[in-house]
Amino acid sequence: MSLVYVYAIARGGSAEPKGLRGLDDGAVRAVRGDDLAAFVSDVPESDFAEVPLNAHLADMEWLTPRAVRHQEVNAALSEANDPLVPLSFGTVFRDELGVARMLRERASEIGPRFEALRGKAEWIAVVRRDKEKALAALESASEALRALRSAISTAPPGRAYLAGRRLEETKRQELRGVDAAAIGAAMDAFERAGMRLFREPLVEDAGGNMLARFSVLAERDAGRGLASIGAAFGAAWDDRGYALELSGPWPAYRFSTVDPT
Amino acid sequence: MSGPLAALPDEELSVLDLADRLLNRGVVITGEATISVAGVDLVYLGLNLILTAVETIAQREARTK
Repeated sequence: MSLVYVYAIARGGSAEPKGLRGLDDGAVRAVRGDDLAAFVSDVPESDFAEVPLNAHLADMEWLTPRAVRHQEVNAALSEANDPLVPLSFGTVFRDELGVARMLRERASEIGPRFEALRGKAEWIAVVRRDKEKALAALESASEALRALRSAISTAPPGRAYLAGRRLEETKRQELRGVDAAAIGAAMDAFERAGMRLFREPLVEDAGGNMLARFSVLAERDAGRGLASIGAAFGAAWDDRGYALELSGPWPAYRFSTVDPT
Repeated sequence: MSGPLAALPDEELSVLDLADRLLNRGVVITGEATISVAGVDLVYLGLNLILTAVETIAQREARTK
């Protein structure tokens, strides 16, 4: 038995994808419902029904090549269809009738998203901080820290201990302040360029010195503009230990799920 | 055009970004409501996948060196 796997949704008049191969090499075709078309391929129920799919999601060996194929299909569909609403990995229907029904029932919800995505792609923007470097920059720039250090050097031991604690607390506070300024500078730069931002939740201890993460919606050809935003950020913030990294262009996976208003 | 919109993401960072784009928001199964993968908090699932991916890539790199 096979199930129907959906990659993306486009406007109803979209061309049939030719020669495009999806998961497990299944041919990608269009399923049409009213004013929308879904791009789908058949996948085996033995892998994509709820229980096996859940098990596979924890298995990177299984998942990675399929996630890559999902992305390749959406990359190709993005080239041929503008606007396109790309879906997350693992959108599976029992059959084509279910897909067509979803297209009809959700047309009023999906329709308005097209306009927001027309001509657009998304990037991932990450603000990172090298903590050692940031602290060193703080030490040399902060009057408050300098004053505390000199107080500690001349204070008797008991007071020096308390001043030391205050120094650490001041350092933490000032670092938080600089963090907020760096994140704000990155956000301002994107917003000044007219790009939409979505602040991604950050998982605690995500590692890699990650301070903030955004999805950025921009024109598909905005790569150079974004690179220069990254470079300008680096020029202003590298000395203080902060960097702005960009990845893209991606099909608008995130902004397809974000309310366009 | 270059980048993931057109090309296969084959760099280390891109695999992580791929997991982030495709999985972080969770797997949404709709239609006949016969299948539901969204029962768990997929933000955490996404994190697990990303962390697993880092390990897998690190292991692969160790093997190929």
